[in-house]
Amino acid sequence: MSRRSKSVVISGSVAMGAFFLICLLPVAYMFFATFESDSEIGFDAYKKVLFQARQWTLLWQTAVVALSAVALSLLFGVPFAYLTVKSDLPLRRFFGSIYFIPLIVPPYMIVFSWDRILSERFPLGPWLKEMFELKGALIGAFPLTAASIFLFLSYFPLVILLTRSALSTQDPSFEEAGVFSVSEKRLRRGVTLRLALPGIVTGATFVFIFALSNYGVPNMVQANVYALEVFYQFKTAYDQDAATASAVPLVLLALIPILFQRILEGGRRYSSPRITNREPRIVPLGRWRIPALLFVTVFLIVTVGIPIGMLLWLAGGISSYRGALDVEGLGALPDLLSSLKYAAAAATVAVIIGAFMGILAARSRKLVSGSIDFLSMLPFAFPAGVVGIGLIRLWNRPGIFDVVYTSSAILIIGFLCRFAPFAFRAVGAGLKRVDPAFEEAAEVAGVGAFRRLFGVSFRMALSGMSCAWIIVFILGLGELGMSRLVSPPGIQTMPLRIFSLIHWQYDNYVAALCLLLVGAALLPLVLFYLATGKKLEIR
Amino acid sequence: MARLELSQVKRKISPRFMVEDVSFVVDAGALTVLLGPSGCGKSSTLRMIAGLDKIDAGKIQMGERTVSAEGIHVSPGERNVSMVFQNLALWPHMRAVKQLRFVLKGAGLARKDRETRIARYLDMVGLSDRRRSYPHQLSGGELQRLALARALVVEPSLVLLDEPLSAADRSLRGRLQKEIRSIQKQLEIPMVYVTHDQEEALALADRIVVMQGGRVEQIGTPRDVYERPKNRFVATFLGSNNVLQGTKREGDFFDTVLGPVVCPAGDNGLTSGLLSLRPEALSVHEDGVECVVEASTYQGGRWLTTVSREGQYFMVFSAVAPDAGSRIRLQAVGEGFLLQGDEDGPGT
Repeated sequence: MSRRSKSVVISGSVAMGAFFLICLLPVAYMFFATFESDSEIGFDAYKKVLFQARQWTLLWQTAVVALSAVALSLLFGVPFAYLTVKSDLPLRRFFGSIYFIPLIVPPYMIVFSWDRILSERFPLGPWLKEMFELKGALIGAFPLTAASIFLFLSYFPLVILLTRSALSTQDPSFEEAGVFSVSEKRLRRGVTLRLALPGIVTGATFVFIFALSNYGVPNMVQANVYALEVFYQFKTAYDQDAATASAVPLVLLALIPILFQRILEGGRRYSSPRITNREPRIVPLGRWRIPALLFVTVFLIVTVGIPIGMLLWLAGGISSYRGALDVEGLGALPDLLSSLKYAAAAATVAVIIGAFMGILAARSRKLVSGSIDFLSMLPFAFPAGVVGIGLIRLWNRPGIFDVVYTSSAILIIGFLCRFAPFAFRAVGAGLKRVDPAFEEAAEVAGVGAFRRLFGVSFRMALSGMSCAWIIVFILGLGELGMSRLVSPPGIQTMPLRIFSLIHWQYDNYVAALCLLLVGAALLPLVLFYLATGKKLEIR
Repeated sequence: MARLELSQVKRKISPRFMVEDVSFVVDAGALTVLLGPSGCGKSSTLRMIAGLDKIDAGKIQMGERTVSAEGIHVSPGERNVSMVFQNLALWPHMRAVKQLRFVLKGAGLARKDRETRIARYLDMVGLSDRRRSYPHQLSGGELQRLALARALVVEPSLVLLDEPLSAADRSLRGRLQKEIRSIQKQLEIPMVYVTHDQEEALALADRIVVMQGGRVEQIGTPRDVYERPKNRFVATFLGSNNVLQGTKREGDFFDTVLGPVVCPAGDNGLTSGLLSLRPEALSVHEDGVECVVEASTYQGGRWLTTVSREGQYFMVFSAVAPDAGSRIRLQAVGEGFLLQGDEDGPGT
């Protein structure tokens, strides 16, 4: 039922306009531009690019890499989430607090770390090379496998995050209704995980999209996938139309899981009738307690302990950090500050737009609400390279456009394009849980429209908004692919700096800068936890 | 099934609240209602019977078998009980027939027998034609029937119902109460039913266990607890009631502020105490004592009038609504009941 006031409609519409301008228009314009009358190629670009046999190989490889990363994330992520939420696993709260660390380490840094682990300095690499009878570099020998594994190692926390949220908010009475006559195994499969399915699928969708659009990892392992192709067409071949045409399969591929996820989430058959504050029902592991503990511990050692440990080892003492930041050394402090500034700006704008769009969706009829939800997820299907090209094609022109294009604003807009859907989702989910009656109570008491919004609805969804801000901030802080395309001369971000340093073998500085970036990303998380006692959560 | 017995059951629910010394018996084939205000411990007691929560002390026995005691906790799946939850907990992703099939699959029945049994229980609750529906496609009453069918289909030895009708409107509630009672009698299956609704308890129960503050206040038939409340709480919780101070005069007669009241249970040696006197035991009579009318509320066919005398308030039913401020004379025409262990002041 629609229970929205005029102020909600007006502010929501303005937010929708801003969303369209910032997030949808660049990519929409990019595609339309190829059909403009003065365009050199038009349809020909699509024909030329899309009907090459090479494109189909690329499409296949891209899909395989992304799907493998998803499969691995599900294989390890779902049991991990179940064990840390629903079982009596020892130290489960601790495990549930550290699994997301890889998410705040930029993926190319995960590759960097593992590349050094697998080097001749340590026994693992030579041993593997001997096993596979390789003479050259281990990673270079299996680029697609390596890309899949590194993308999994970078993005699996998304599956755990969403699955944990779905499991921890599930009403325990759904399981209790079955415990009288159904075995734990059937109950887990038929009820617990089945009801958590929308969360699991959303997590898998996020991993798929991120894996699909990641530029840093395939670049470093030399895996031939679409994200690299788009970048190559644009930056190396300087062919805008070919780059745009190359982006089409990528966008279509990304749209498939988004549509599937929307259908699944929209279906009442899978939606839990309400979210509960009751503690989840804990299932005793019995004789599986020690094997489960081993699984979780080894998994975290491999995914968190080893890469972070390697970075700490490479960075060495405090002199590396000082040298990386000092003017006398690399002088990367301004880059770090710039990254913090742009990421914070993007996160703030995303939360503001998300809040007004979210309240409009929450107070609208199902059709409008569903449409807003779908539209807000759409930019998620645009990979970094696509967004970058779209921004260049739209904003690289004289006048006011050029002011934006040559300033840091273009980076902030880029971050928004890429990561704002996360904010819209987290803020929207929070606002949907606020009963409109709370606002109506204030309205009846004569409280003005904006005070009602800010003092009641937004205040009650503050936790979701904070999570949204943190997520966009973290993702913005590590963004590379789009930044490489649109970063104006003289404006440098930390990921750009790190990425260029990787190729110069400054391992200690690279590791130090990366750890500083991780520390900066951790800061709001720690502050959020100290202020609310809650962990990061999105639904 | 054999009877259920709770002896001195105790469980700490929160730092400030615990269920203590809960003892009662549920006889085979009987419907026992746990009645009390919100937060009195009745649902917690039900969850302990189900095995969903462990007990800290005491004992729960099902027939000869101890299912909960110190160091003993039989899991819910091994107690042969089933439960209908307050929120019904119907799985949103399963059709009606699947809800029943899902709980029945582990019962070791041949497929044909299983399907026959499912059909029988769906028919019993009147949902045969809705077997392919998902919960979101069913009405409120159908949802409640489906939850009941799911609990019954495994043919448990005890069914536990945790305020299953709390979300239903009054007319639906009345209809479903009759259906539950009829199915219970037809199957001769013992049920423990939790509610905070006195009318529902009186309508359904063979026996009522009244609880307050984590303790059992009184156990008895509906008539017992209504007509012979043990203490002030039970007297006032079960319907409208007047509680007034009485002093024994002679025989069964007690002197009260409303004149003499007959209390047949007054032979327990007490010479004074609190009496409970239902509004229907008072009548307007010219030989009665004079009271001031404070207010009247329409009760459908009659008025419940509140009067005052000597600073105390009392309720009486009347055919017409007397004007507020007017004076009427009241006389006790029915019997009162002497409450136990209440030393506090009189009043309603």
